Amino acid sequence: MTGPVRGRTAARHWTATARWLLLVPPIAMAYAMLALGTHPTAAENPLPYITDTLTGIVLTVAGLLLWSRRPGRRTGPLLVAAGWLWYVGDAFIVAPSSTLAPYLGFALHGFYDPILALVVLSFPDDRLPGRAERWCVGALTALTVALATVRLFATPPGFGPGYAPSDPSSPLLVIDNVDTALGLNLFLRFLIGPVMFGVAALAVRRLVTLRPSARYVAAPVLAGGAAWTTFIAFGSIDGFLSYALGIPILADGDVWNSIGYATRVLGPLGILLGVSRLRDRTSSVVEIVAGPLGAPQGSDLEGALRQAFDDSSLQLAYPSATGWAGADGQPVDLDGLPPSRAATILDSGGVPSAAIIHDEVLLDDPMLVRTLTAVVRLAVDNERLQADLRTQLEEVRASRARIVEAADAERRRVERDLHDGAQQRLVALAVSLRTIRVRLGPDANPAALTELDAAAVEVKAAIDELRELAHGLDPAILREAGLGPALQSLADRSPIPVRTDLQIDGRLPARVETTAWFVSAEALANVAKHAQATTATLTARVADGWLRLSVADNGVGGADLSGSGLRGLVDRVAATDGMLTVQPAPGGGTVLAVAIPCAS
Amino acid sequence: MRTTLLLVDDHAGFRARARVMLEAEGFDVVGEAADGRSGLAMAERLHPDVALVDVQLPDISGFEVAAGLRTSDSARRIILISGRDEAEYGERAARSSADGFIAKADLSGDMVRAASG
Repeated sequence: MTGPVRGRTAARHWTATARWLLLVPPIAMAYAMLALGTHPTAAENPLPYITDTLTGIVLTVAGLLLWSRRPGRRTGPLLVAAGWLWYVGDAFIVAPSSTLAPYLGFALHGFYDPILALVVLSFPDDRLPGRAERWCVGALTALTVALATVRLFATPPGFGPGYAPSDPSSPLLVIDNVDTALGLNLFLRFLIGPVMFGVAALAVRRLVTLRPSARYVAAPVLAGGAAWTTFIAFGSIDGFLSYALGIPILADGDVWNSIGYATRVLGPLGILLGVSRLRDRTSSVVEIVAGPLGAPQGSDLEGALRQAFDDSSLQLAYPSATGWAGADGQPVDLDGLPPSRAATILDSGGVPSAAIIHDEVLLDDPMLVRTLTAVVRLAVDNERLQADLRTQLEEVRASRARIVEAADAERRRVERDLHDGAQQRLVALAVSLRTIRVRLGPDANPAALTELDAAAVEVKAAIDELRELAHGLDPAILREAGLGPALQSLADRSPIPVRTDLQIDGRLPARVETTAWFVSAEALANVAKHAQATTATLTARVADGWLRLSVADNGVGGADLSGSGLRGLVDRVAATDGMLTVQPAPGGGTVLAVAIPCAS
Repeated sequence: MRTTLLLVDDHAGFRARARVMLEAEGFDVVGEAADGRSGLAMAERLHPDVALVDVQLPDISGFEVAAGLRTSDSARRIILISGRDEAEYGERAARSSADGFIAKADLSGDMVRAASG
């Protein structure tokens, strides 16, 4: 499978490269014309002559560019043909006048006009949009054929290919009368004038009414084409009227010629600019992907593509439960699109993943569509991967929260069991020992009383230890009275003095209270055990939906988050989407700070 | 005349031993209740000199029982008791309607007398 594909690709590549050889004849002709300088006006006014000579090359280059970008479409080859035809009228430079070639070239000289009219009016859709356009191009073709016929069979001496009165007449000459030949020639050119005006008017109308996305590409072509055809129209009518009636419309021939050459350059340059704008779009799409923010997603991508293609109605759609839906969630009917819109559907593993609804004109540029689909596919895949990642992160977060919740629930169960079980039994035992002590009275055996008192002390110590253990597992005060009283109780139990500044009104979500209490308990325990501090400060306040809590001490400092105890606290705080930091305190000691979102 | 005492606690074992100990120390335990509402009803009927009320009860909290007793004036002195210690409940007990707080492990006749003034 890979081999043939590679072979076809290579063949296409060589064909596309070899196609540029089509530029050789126009270049050779242009060189010959410039080098030999045989054009009668060359010496008088070289600049228009040079631009006129190069126009055929410009048309050929534009055609080849279009051909390579839109293989299989007619506009490229037509423009190349127009570029070649531009020079056939000057075939006499390279072909001997004794042959038919110069006369054939002279006859076919004007055929680039109907071709260019066809290109201008059908660009960039590659089809004539209406009856008026078809009529204009058809009429122009017919008149050009008629003109070629007259030129071929009625070329008078002095009006032939070499413009030299001494040239021999055409071997195909049928009408050998100067006035008749010139009259026919000018009359046909006169008829071409209104048709050319029509082409110019249609080009302007198309420029105004074309869809914005197509207008961006076609505007230079249409504007240049309109200017060009207007000039030809004026020239045709002027030529006829000056000959027939002796009344030239334009008195100053030099100015007219200058305008004429300028407009003749505008047409090909417009086409070249239009073709380059097609290329621009590809680069602007590539910039979307290679931009500083990477490939945008969702409505951002839609907006970027709209901008890149100057198509404000470009839309992205994604498969939905009921068919297709836009980035805004609204249903989209891909089967009910208007004729000027087209949908390009992307699939992933055979399953539709997205659809691009765009101006139909884009379909004329396969490379552009390929680039567009590649960009959207990349963005859609990126979005999907990010969504997967977000889902996984959310699952991890939820799982971590569940683990913490489960651990808290287990702590509560153990605390309750200790409180209701072993602790109650020990309390009952302590009360019994007290009863025995009372009943024995002061006169009992002193050794027995001493032993009894020692037992009572032991039981009391056991109760205290058990109570501390239970308290550490699940402080009842936290459950019953909330974080403020629980933190105050924690400060009161600390072996070192703890100053408190607590601004917590009411209750907070249970997991926030539990987390904050455990962090405070662990932090105060660390201060007592490791910090060598003489005092600590516990502050907590709720503001803007966040609980901010800190434990500061005046100890030796050096605490960091790598310790297993603090690491556990970091995990626990992270399970509530909060943050924990440990930093040196100004003037020595350590500040452990926690921020936990607590908006209900 | 012996000081009459009502014991409100949901642990039967503790109540039994506390009754024996307190009676040995000269109190007259006139009633026992296993939950807060029973304790309130019993106090209305018995009007004890002292009500020993556990903070954690199955229906309502010891703080609520203390408030009820104070409102109905059905016990002369109200003392909260708990398996937990004073650091945990002492402050809340001080702000409650009770006259004092005793950790159960420290319970004795002397403590009851001291707490009930």
